[in-house]
Amino acid sequence: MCVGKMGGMMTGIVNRETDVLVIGGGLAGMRAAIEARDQGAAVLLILKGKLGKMNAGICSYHYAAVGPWGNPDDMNDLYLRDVIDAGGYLADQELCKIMIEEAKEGIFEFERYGLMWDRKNDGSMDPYLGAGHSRPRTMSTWMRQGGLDMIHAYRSEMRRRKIPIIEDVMATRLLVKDGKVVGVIALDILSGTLISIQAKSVIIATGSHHQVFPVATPPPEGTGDGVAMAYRAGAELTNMEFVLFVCTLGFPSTFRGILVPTLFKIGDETMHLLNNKGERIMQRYDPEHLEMATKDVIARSIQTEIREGRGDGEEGDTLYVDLRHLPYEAARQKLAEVVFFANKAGIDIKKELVPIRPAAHETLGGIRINKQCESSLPGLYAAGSAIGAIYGNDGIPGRGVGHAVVFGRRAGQFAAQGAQKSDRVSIEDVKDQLDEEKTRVFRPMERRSDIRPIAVMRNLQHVLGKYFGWAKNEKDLTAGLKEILRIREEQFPQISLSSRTKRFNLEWIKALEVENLIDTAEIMFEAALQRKETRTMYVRDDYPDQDDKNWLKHLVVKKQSGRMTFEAVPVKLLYVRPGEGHKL
Amino acid sequence: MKKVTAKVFRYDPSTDDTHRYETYEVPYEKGMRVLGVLMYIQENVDTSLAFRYSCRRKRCGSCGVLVNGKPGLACMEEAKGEMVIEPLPNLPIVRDLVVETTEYEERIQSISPYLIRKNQPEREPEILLPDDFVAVRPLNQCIECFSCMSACPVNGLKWEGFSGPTTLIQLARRMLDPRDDMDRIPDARQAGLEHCVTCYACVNACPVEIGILEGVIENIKKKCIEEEASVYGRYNKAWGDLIIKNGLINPFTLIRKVSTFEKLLGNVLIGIKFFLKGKISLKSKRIPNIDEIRTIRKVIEEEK
Repeated sequence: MCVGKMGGMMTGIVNRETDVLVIGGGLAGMRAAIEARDQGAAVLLILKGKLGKMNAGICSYHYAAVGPWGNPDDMNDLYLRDVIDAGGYLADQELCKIMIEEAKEGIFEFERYGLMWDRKNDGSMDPYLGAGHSRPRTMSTWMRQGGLDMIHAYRSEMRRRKIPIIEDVMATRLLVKDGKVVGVIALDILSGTLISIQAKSVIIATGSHHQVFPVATPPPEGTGDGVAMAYRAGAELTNMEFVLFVCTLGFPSTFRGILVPTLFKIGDETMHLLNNKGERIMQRYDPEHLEMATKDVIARSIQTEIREGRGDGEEGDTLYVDLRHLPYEAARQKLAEVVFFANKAGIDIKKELVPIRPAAHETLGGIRINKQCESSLPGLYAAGSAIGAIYGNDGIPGRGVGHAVVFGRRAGQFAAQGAQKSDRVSIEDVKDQLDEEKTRVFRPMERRSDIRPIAVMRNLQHVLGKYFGWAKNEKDLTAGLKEILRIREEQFPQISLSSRTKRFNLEWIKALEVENLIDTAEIMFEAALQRKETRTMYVRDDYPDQDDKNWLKHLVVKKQSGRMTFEAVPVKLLYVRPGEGHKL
Repeated sequence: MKKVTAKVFRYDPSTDDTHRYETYEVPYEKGMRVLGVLMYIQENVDTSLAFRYSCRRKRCGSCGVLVNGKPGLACMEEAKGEMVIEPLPNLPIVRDLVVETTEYEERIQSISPYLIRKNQPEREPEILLPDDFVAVRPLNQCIECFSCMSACPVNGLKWEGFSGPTTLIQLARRMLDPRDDMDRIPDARQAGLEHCVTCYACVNACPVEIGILEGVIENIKKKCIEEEASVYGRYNKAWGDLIIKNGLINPFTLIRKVSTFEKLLGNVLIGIKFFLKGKISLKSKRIPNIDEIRTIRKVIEEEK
């Protein structure tokens, strides 16, 4: 890995060239860069922050794959059923199969890259049974810090290969010539100059767009930059109506991001879920299973409590987890991270309740790809969470990393091969686009008003928090969409900055991120209005039944002659048909 | 309402001649962290404030700052009373609390911070005994936040002879990994670990509680001594052997044992200087009860 210095100025725009350009430095982005390099291509990786520091992978814990470490009766086919069943049979089964078959190699590869998976005392691998899996095949590392070790392993490989990177740049626009993606324009956050990068293949690995929500578990840089950019350039997106929600995000307001596990037992005891009156809410909704009820029952119960006004906090959506009755030492061991952060937030779990809020965990929509990770635009590839989820509307824990690893590698491989067959354009060929983008990017810098990007972003997040919850209906979605359009038309064009410095101006970056979030939010509302059914964790109160007749379909969206157009593509049930999946 | 006061370092090298401090009053919330204070300022008071952060749970290591002169992660340091918040020292400032860490990245790069094996295992997954990884496991937790680099007084001298604690952690990670086959003693020698003054500043600053002194520096030193390859190891060995054998240190024998002929020639001037100042003497006295020391060494070696 070597940190790039810029060279070659042209009309205030720095010019760079490469074979394969990777945008994004998480697991998928780094894996793509490593693979493309190993295939012999010249690679450049750009990312919005520092390598190994800004990504959601770092907060993940585990990696699930079928291999010699698991039960002798485990096989890819079982994992495939688990995944497809969880996703409400909306998975792209062909891509899921590839992911599951190639996930095993990623496990070996991580150890070649210096990581060590959990071992038993005899030195053999020590997988555990992850939620939603029918067999123990989930692996983590010492102290359950899996994601951290995986990110560091890939960063080591970037360093070994001395792959050129440019840190602190935000990609803002794809360069397109004759319908083919030929590079990208990016803003250098450190200096405030634009960089034009001409590439033969471009891989988008910019992650998800969870920042459309007021409360989200992953880190703050997930603003859908790559997905929005691809959409604006005409690429097809899919599954934009799906979001993975969690309802027990620990929320001492100074510590976001710690999930309180619900499904655990210490002896015969579980945690208790309480509302603002101190009532144990699951006694009302599922007296038999109480807190051990299934995920969707718990989610629905919490949502009902909040709707009926039995939540606390500014937004009225705070409930409580009660751990006071549990034996402290056992709870401390079982919930080490929760207890650590509760302590830091001044909450003593022996005497006090842990506040929780519903939160977005992962937005599942993104760029539609084929087996070669190609988008619908020639020259453009996607990897990781920027891909429209391949497993449908819900994912089981431990598949996210496998997804990043497998499609990262494939994107790198096919992008490098694609690069051999194409030529690079010169900066002169895309001059019009550069000029146009320069005007767009610098507009908030030149405008004078008192509307700040952070305020617009908060307004937008408020709309999603209010109208795009776990359970949706037509009235809410229509109202929400109207609000989004109002923000786009009235507030966004007025955005200006309080400081005009070009150096590390986070407000300026936020102004550009807001536009990406408005674009993705609008698509999310439109897509959710289209899908008139309820399917596992996707809930439409006005259409409470699963509708396999009309909605066993992927919703694909793209921008055509300036308009958003949808197409419902039937799911190919190649391997598993509804009802055949594994049920725990 | 309870409040905390933050005096924050502000500097834009593109427009300002010098830095200044701005003082902000921020409403206090239970359990508030320094990062919460910075975010409050950025969202409500001064949107132009620049700082880095990401995960908010000490995994990414992005938000390192100085709080009241001490380095730490903003997401972990408690907000209280009156605080002075400054960027990490000894690095070029991009703006306000944001620093450029390329220099540290280059130092890490210089020690080949990746696993190097002569042969790949015959079958995968290979058998790896957890006991063999006890020493290296804590080091894998390093998030490269550079708190230790910022706390280290020797690193603060900005002297090329010492590569700093973070670099040494990365080096030790590979040296102590039983799978690694590379001879990393030359890198250890380059890193200048004999210049560590054992002050524990790095240990106290580490947010993920890596025992940098015992876990990293002492372990590398031990490896070096075992290998007898570095000047440092040979020096210790030769020094000890001379005492045991003769009960005194003869500086000429010592230098001959630890240095090469070329180096010896290069050091003649220093030698003469030392001699004139009385640091090297021909009239060294033998230790009176040398047998006691020999017994101690014997006991130690038997215990090993």
